[in-house]
Amino acid sequence: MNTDRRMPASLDTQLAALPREVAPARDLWPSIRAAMGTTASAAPKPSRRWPLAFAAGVSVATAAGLIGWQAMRPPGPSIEQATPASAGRNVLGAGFAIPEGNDYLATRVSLEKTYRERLGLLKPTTRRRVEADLAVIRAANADIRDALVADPQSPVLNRLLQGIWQQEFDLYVSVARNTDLAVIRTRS
Amino acid sequence: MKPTIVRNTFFSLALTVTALSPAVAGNKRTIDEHRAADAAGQVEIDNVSGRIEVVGWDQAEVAVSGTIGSQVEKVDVTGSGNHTTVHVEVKQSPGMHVGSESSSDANLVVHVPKGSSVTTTLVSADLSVRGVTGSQQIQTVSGDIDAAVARDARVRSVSGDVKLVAGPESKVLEVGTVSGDITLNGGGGDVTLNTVSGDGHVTVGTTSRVSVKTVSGDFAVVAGLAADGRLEAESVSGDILIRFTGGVPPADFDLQSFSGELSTCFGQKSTREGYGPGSRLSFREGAGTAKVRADTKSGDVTICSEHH
Repeated sequence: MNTDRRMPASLDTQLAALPREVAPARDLWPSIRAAMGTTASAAPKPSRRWPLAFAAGVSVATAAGLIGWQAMRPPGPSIEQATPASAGRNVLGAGFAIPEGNDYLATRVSLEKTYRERLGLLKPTTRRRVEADLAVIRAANADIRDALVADPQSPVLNRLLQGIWQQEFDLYVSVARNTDLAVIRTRS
Repeated sequence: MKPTIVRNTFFSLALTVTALSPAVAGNKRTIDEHRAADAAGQVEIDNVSGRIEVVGWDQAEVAVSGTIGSQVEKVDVTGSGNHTTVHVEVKQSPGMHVGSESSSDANLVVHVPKGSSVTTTLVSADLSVRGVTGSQQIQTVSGDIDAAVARDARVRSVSGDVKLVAGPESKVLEVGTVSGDITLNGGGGDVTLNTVSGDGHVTVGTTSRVSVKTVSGDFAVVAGLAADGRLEAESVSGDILIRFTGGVPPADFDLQSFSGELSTCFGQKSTREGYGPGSRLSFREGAGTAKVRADTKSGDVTICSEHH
């Protein structure tokens, strides 16, 4: 049991004392980009599946960690970054700032690509359920953004926007991670 | 409990019949592997499709029995130190959907030392776990999970339903699904539940922390809350019902919704927010040492106690 969770005031104090920016010990992007490039070009040859699948797993884990790290960064002055799920919708709000920047967008695009590839491995019935759930998430995202137009300062809407944003990533990561076995543990 | 017993009996019976009947087995092969194992070691099991039944027993051995289809290459039972691995290797054709053919099924009963910690990774295989007293980690795509957990458990499923019965020593329970429903009975401590569209029925003991996040799934949570505990629920359109056992806890309550209804069974009324369309219901009960927070977009939140 995590004792800190029982003492939110203490946790808040500790969080407030954390540095606002944490630089990685080394530049992670070359290896991440390389791993994702490998995943993107995954060939069906059995002899290459193991290393490719391993690289994919590393990519997903790294991307998820990086995205989580970006999400935990202190929010900027305003929200202004449409996600691919709702591209073109310019909605302003306060409180939650969707991460910006090319690195974040590249990570997201790669994660979505891995998700799409893994989705194709699933049985049609499972695939349809997952796609229906992604549609639910995206509809909820749009719904919250519409509501933010009426009440951009709403703390509850901003918390929900952050939650739904995280849910979409969780879905991608969940499908990618849970299908690792299908990629790694099979051979022709 | 009756449906669970019936289901488990049927499950075991089905496995036994399948394993013993040559007529049913067809070109299936029988598996019977044994390996000595640490009484409190780690057992890792993976399977793509079919069924896995994990049973804790008093012997210091991992035993794997059952049948495998023609597309299953082999079942490896290997070990090193206190770590034992049960690995089902499937021949996979390019473009084949995972678990779409019964010939890739492995229907196995895996006996493990009851003190083992078990990690199970499945794709479309169903899972049942009984009699294991160590921690559990379970990951699946579409298989259903029915597990008794004695200690900490972490479960992730995409579309498979998750049914957990947790013992009193289970202090950390984490369940995440996309569309799978969650049913949790027992346990306490720190409980984290996360779904997109899955519904949840949760009955737990006294908890220090409960976190429920859903997009469109409806949740019913019956729980006791420790004096310094936290309960947080977040939903976009799903309804949330929280019923406290042992009366209303001494907590600060803060419920907020954009367009859903907020209500309690003990009289408090929500108020409209001053600068927007949302509503809020906040009040303090007793010393207010615990915290209860719920946010929804359009879902309803209802808070009750067993005394109201």
